[in-house]
Amino acid sequence: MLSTRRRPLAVAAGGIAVLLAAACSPGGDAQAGRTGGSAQTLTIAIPTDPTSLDPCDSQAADGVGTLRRNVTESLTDVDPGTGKVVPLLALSWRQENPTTWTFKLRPGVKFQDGTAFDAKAAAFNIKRTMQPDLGCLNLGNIPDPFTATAVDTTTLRVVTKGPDPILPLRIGWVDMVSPKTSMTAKTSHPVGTGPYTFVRRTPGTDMRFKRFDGYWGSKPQAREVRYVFRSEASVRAATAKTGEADIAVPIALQDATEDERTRSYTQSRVFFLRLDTDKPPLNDLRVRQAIGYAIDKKNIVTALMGRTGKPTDQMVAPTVNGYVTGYKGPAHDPAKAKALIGQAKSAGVDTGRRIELISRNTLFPGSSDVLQAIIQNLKDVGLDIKLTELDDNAYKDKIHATNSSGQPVSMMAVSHDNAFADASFSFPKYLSSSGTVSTIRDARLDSLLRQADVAAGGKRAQLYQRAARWAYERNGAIVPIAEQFSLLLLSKGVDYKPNGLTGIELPAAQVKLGR
Amino acid sequence: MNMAQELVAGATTAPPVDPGRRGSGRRRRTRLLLRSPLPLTAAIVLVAIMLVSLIAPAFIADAAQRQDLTQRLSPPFQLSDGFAFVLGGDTLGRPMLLQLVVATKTSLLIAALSVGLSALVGSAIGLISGYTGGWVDALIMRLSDIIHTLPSLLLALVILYVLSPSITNLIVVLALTRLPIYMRVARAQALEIRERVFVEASKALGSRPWRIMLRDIRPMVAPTVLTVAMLEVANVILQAAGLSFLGVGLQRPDVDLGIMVASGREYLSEAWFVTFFPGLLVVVIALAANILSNWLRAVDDPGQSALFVSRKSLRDEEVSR
Amino acid sequence: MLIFLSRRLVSSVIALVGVVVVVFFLGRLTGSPAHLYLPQGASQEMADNFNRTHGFNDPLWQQFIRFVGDVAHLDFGTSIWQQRPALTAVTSVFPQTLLLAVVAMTLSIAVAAVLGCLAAARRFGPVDKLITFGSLACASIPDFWFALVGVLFLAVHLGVVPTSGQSDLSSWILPVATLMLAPVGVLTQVVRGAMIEALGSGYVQSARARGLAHRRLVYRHALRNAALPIISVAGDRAAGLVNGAVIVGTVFAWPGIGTVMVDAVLNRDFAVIQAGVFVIGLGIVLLNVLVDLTYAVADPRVRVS
Repeated sequence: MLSTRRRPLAVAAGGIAVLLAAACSPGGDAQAGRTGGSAQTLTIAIPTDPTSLDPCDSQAADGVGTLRRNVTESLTDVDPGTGKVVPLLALSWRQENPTTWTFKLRPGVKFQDGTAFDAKAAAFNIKRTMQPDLGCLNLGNIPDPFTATAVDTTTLRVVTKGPDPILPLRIGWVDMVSPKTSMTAKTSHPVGTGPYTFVRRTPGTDMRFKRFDGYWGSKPQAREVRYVFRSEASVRAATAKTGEADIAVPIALQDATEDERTRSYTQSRVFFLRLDTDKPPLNDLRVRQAIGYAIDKKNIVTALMGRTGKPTDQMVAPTVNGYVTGYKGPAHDPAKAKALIGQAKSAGVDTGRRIELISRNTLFPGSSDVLQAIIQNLKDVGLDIKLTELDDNAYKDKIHATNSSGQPVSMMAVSHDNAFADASFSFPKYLSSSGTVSTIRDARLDSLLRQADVAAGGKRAQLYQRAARWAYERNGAIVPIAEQFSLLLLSKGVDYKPNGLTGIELPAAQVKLGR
Repeated sequence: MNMAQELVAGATTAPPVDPGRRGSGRRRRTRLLLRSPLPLTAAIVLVAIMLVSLIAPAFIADAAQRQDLTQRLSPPFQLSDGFAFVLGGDTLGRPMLLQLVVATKTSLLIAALSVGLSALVGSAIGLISGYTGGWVDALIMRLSDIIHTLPSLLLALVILYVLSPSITNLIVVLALTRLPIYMRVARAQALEIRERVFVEASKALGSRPWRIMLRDIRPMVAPTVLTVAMLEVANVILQAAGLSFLGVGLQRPDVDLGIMVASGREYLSEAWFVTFFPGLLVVVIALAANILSNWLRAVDDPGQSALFVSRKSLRDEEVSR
Repeated sequence: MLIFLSRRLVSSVIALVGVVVVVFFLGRLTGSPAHLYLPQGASQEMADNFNRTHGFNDPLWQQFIRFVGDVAHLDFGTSIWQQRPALTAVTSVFPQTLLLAVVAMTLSIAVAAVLGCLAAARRFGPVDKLITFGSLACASIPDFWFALVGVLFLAVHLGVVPTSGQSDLSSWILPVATLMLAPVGVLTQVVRGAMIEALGSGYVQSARARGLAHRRLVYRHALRNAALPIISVAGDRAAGLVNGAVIVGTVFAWPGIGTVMVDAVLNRDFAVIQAGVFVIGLGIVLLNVLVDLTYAVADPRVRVS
């Protein structure tokens, strides 16, 4: 019997030999050990491989910024502490008249391919981002395209269609790439002015940057940055727990540690429901209001979202200028909800009709449970709700279908962020008649928003707040649930203080490696 | 034609039982089962699970779906909150025990219907293919190759993205991806049987082909297909779980074991029982089905192997024959 | 044999073409990915333009004819997502999957051969029962569940292997073990059954009777005879490893065709889906040919037919 066992064992030994050979082959990434790589490599675990590597798509970072402030920079940035616009590639700016601005650019800046950054390059980038054929995702934050011309090497003139008081903020969404980049096709090898040079992306595996020696600013600590893609939330958190990654971002509530290695940050993100307004029973104001009364936000958010959520009555976070201080929305009151639905029913509204609650799998960690709890609340007051969770593409199709008659009546679960903290990145989209994802058709609201868009400072905030109050009280198509906070996990000995911008940019220079 | 698979079908599945001995075969099986402890246990466990999951949901469906956030992730083995919470509460404070019962019903339903569907359609196609031969056979076998070549998980992923996941779609997709197995098994058997004397005799007597297929060949192919189907029940439950993991399984509030394992996995380190109990149930059902299927194969073909048949009962069997 | 092989090859290629056609139409059913790649608030004009650039607004049959024309000279188009030829996107990761599959399959056969022989030799004994029960249990565990529990215990609690990714030798342990679960379970059963049959078959018995009492010789005969079903089941299971690779890719972020295909489905990257299915299909066709060849070598009777 012994002899027969030897044969298969020989085969097994052969198998192990193959394994060894495989591991030693260049395909194996021998560098990424348990210490998160060599002493000078910063490893960051993120959920997914970016859909696009073109810097003009950087707003779709989906919770984690990679390129911004590492590979690419824009003319301006926001100070996460004060929310003020601060210089980056532009040193200063001035509004010549309501539609014309001049930017003084930082001299001596070079792109990573050696090309000089000057006003021409800046104008090239503005033209490139505005080009409709390219379909830049950042255009979603630039509803009215503007044009730019180079006055001299360091002076850039920008002309907007109508008055845009927040242009210096908005222009921060134009990430500067080398003028050698194609004007007509998106790039998968971005070249910018940032402290790191893009090296390569291995689809589905990782992405690497290395330090750019010709950077105009101070040199960051990490010589190399490596992003690893870990879609499974628990595995992502585990990489930071074991030290394979220095930062895991974002992580789910249940994977958070008790100590200060888990850090919370806001993206000025709010989770709300957007209701249809054109089909019964949601075309009835009483039914929409009833939904607001029916949901026990406080209980649901406390129990299911923990430190990642805070019940809110508004669709923007307190950091945003459209936030109405002191505003209180409908409190949890199932009896009132039932009464409202009863009234609607006796007025002939078909309140028993099934409503689809549409969400996406990746809305936020644990979103499925939160939505099921909301549905339970709505069922308790007599509404028939069915949950449908879609993948991103199908979801995006649905959210754009704001009044498609063929669709069943629905409400969408939305998680909307506004890191630049100006209401113009939120309200026009969701509240105005022409908003791309708005189900609201209200002339009064439209006029308030139009006025707000061209106003500046305190007047702007005031107008946006009036619009918001009007929408919450008179329309009820937006049902705010919770202000959201994200979590990240640091490996031992790593320090990084997340802030309001972490969701769109995580500069490697701000991370302190303790080795 | 995949020669390899055909030979396997021959090697690992039972040769057809002589129709004359079918009645006694069934009795023999029952007798053997009663004397084999492990297959007997498997059968009892399976029947018990089936009975509970068929009858109980009628009474507890509402209680199983009732959320109580105060019971969120409440630990198992505590009777203070009533027997329903003996296995703890899930992420929304629904009683795990009742959820498990409802989920098992759905899982078994999906498994039974998709296995039944693919066994029926697959073996019918295989029969026709094997009996008719010629270009029909060649065409059908290419079709089988097509389905077989596509990785079943990717195929299911793409289809479910198009159709949106629901119980019906899940059943159809799972049935579709498992079709080739039955096509091959039934075809191989039909090829063999159609050369036999009594089929030749039937032909000579002027029976129509479909009659021969239905009357003479089908009963002989059925036991083999049944054995394979038994084995497939386990596979289908596992595959449905895999689909839930990839995010294209059922949509809550519909619940099967797969979605329970898959959604509970996120709480693995915080509340092990949310994913452990449904996982355990999947393993138990799959294991019981595997053992039974294995045993069925063994008793139909005592010469080849007789797993889990105790030495004593086998000896008795040989003596009594 | 050559005629047989070439016939098999031709019919397999026909099947492969069929697969690619089916996938083409399935993929198109998921709709245009315009909203995924265009900004929120993109005008209809921009969406039309996107569809025009990528050819999504042509009638389906036109898209299909163009596709067939391109595929005829192995051009699967450009990946929208990765912005490189789809075939390159697939072939650059396929070797990784192949390597993992070969390692997992080799180890599975080795383990199954040992366990199966042990069980066959001690037929109906406690060892046999333990092995049979264990192997069936192996085949009954959901693979992603096993993988995640593995990460929790081996990587997070014990710290003996990395959680994910491909690095040193220890990083292979969990992915390979996950992939081995099902094949080991099934193959052990096959080896056991085949060995029992072979040991009881006429010529081994007669070899014994002729005085070839040396057990080594008996087992060599038996094992060779048992090789046929083992090879074919292993071949069949190897095709199924692609499913396992999808799970392993998702849990361990293991580079390979699994993650790329799932990402391609999520990103509506039709070109990569089609190229991926083609490459996987081709791999399986070649595998089947290999299995047939091994068959011919192992069993002279096949060569004659």
